[in-house]
Amino acid sequence: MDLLSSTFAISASALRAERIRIDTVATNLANAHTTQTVEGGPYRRKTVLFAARALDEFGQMLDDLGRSARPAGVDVTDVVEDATPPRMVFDPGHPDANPEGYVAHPNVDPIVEMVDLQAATRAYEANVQVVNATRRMSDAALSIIG
Amino acid sequence: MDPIRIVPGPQPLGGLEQPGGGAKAASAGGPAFGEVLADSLAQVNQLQTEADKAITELATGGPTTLHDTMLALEKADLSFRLMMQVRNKIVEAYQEVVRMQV
Amino acid sequence: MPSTLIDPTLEGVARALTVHARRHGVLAENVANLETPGFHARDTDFRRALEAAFSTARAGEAAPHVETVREDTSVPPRADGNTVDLDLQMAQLSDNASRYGTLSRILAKRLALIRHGIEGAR
Repeated sequence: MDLLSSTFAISASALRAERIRIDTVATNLANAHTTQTVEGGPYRRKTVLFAARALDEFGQMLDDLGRSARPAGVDVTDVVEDATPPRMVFDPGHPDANPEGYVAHPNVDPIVEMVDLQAATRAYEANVQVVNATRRMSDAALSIIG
Repeated sequence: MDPIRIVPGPQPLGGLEQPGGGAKAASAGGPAFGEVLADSLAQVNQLQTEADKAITELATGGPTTLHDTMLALEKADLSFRLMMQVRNKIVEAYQEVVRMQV
Repeated sequence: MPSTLIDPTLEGVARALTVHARRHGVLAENVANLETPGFHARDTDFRRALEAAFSTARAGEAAPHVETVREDTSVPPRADGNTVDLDLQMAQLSDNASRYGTLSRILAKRLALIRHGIEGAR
């Protein structure tokens, strides 16, 4: 793949990863008050794990830059549950109250989610900018033949 | 136009392969036009081959760069145009010589 | 004959374009890994590579070795070990892209002039 085209693949991987992250935040927020899930118990906050993508064979040309395998983008490797215990709220009248009168609420803090959303959005938009820059460079290269 | 063959191959040189055409021009002094043209043709062929290779690599996703491909195309195109100009000059000169002899 | 068509400066420009293109890939990767824990921002040795691009072209030598990629140690790591400063990366990316664009256009213009020189005024 030519040098600039392969950059599109790198940015695309980031756009995809950040979008998954944003979707996860949306799910967390949507379920912030879900005290009873299908699996039982309150909704548990989910977070995504990012890892730099290792070079695949198609990206071999980029390997010219360094001796060791170099990253070629980013991937969401897993969506994991936050192990923070649920928020216990004293509410004996609630249908999901336990024998002691406490209801287990999801360990979702809307403020934390919004901060995460902001970071993900910023990262997403930055990678869109990178795509635009790559396109501008490609256009400039095409103009060489007039 | 076939989008791949942006630069047409060097073909229209038949008229100059007549024996004596080059020799007549050479007797006027300077390098033999035939030689100059043969050089030009060889370069055009080489650059055309390189351009073809560059196009193929780009299209099939090989390791290359867009700007190098564009440059290869342009080099092939320019050398071809130069050769055509040289050819035209030779033909003009030949025709003038023929006219003189009448 | 074509070697006089494409003078050493243009050959230098072509090599410099490749240097910028390679740097673009590394910077794009930095931005892609903005949120990757433990990721260290990198950059290429582009300044030296740009000089080498022009000096080797002027001397009629082959293209120099591909430049190296190094970690950019200018930014301290955040809590998760990531050292990508988005503002810095975007500024570098912008600068690099505009240099690529400028060199491309210079190349295009020079080639157009050569073409004009060949075909002349008719």
